[in-house]
Amino acid sequence: MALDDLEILFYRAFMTALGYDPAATYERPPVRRAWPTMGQPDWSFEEDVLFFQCAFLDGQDVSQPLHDFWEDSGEDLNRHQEQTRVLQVQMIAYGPHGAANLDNIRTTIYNGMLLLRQAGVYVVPGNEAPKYAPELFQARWWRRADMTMIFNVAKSYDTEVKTITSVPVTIGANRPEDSTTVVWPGGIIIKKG
Amino acid sequence: MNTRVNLSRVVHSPRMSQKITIFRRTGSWEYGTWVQSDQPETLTMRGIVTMASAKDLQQVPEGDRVTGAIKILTTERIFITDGPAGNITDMVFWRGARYRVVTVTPDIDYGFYRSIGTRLDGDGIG
Repeated sequence: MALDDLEILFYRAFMTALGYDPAATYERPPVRRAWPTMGQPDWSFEEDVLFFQCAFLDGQDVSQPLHDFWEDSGEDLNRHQEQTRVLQVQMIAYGPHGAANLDNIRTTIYNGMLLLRQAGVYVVPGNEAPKYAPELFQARWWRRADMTMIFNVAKSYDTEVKTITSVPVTIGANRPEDSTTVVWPGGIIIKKG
Repeated sequence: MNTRVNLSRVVHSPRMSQKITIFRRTGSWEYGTWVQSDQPETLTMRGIVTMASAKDLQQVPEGDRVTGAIKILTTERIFITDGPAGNITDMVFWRGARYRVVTVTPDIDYGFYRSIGTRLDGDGIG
């Protein structure tokens, strides 16, 4: 899954954990993805809004695929590779219930979410805790809590390996009287007759 | 007696003002991301446009990048993002380039709004 797909997956997971319908359309959704390209509407002081952002974790990734399978695919072959990538999900929860919402998310994920398991995303147990850190903005301290969780993500790659069906071959024959072999510029010697 | 100066006639002066195109966007939330509509509302206003920051060339290792900003004086309100009101920042199209409004000074007590737009495009003749 690409990062964009993972963020949609976590949007659905967080909405579910907080008791909202992830398939519904909200005018002011309580879970939002951070860093919008062209901005997005803001939120108010009393609103509980969770922002999150996914990134693969530097230093923890096994960069080389460990499983490598070659499968028949008609005349060609399909190279299927699998690896585990390590994903860091950073959450920032604003609002009066922000810290409690992060607690709920952590508990729900540790209890197991079918949604994540089906997508090959597994939480790495840790000792993360919501960090209550109010933020001064426009003369008011906005209630804010942060938490980071780590996940293992199954990642697979498929590469089509085409069968060689023909190759261009050109043989420049020596004149018959000169020798009994044909010398190919690459060093191949072909004995004549 | 109200002695406050109203500069709206200056802002609309035919010798100083020009036509300004505003793109006002709506949108909706999809999976926690704001998705702007493909068809923004197009508004035409009259006002004064001057440079707030020169069209400037930054020579970064990845290539040339052009920055810049304009100042726009209008008598009508230009929107800046206001979540509770459901507004998202307006975009101004001026001389072939798009500018995203980042500042609106509501000097409406004196008859006008003063806005600053940051250049989005690295091309265009603006």
